Amino acid sequence: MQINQINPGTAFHRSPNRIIATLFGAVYLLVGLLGFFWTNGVPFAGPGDGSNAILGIFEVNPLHNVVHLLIGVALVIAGTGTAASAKAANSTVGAAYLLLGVVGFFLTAPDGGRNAINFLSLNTADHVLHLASALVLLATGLGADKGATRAREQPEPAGATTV
Amino acid sequence: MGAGLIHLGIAAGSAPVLLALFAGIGALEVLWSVVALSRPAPAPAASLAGAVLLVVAQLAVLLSGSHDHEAAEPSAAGVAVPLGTILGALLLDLALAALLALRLRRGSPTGVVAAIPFLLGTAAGAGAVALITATSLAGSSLGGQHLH
Repeated sequence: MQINQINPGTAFHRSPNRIIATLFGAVYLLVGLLGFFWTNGVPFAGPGDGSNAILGIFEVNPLHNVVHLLIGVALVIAGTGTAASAKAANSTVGAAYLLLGVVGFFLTAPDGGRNAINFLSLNTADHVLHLASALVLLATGLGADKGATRAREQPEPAGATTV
Repeated sequence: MGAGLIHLGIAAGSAPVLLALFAGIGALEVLWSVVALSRPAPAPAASLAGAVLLVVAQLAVLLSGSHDHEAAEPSAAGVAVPLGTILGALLLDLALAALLALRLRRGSPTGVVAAIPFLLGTAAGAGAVALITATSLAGSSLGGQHLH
């Protein structure tokens, strides 16, 4: 009789990485979709005039919305997978957001953000949100589910008998 | 990490000599924070000493009057930092020093933290740090303030 010693993986409610990846992914998907209601007449990859802010707070343009959708999809897929995949996705997206949080200031400095270099149509509220997202994702990705590795969370092979 | 980013922001608008100093401090703080996130705080006693040193140095800059409420003029020492920017870094370094002192006094926490409390604590901390950091960076040269 074959004995299955493979760890079935971390349950969703016990894995901070799976919870945060799914939650953030869903929020970014929602924001990516809602954003298109505020980008009428805004250049695809350029700054708006200030009226293109979701709820009057977070400025977006169509490219910014597409990026939100892609990040949302990636996080939801990772979050509904294993803790290891969620951990990797959170760390990667967190690092990217940290970089954007800093680089964003360089993009918005010329002409108060109305220069063409501001290709994501960022504003200060976006910087706060990006930095906060980066810190949450990095802290969770690097600090939680430390035992989760791909090798330990492989799905159960067909035909294996659990004892 | 927040203080490191602010110091990097200050470096971007500083005189060449101070640029290296602030960039070095900022890079070290960001590196330390990444290591501290992935494992228990490295060398807590030395880290506490470094944090206290930074707090004292920033207090000295604040009290020396070499700052301004808007875009600052450089002092004799060449430190030209808007008040809000250095206050943000000071606040974050002070919080870090307090947390490290608590860790040294009480020892490392043992046991596993449940997922939801971990996430709530992380979200609250990240929100506060991001708000302070972004506000401070907006007052630095990265935010369009022209320092000399």
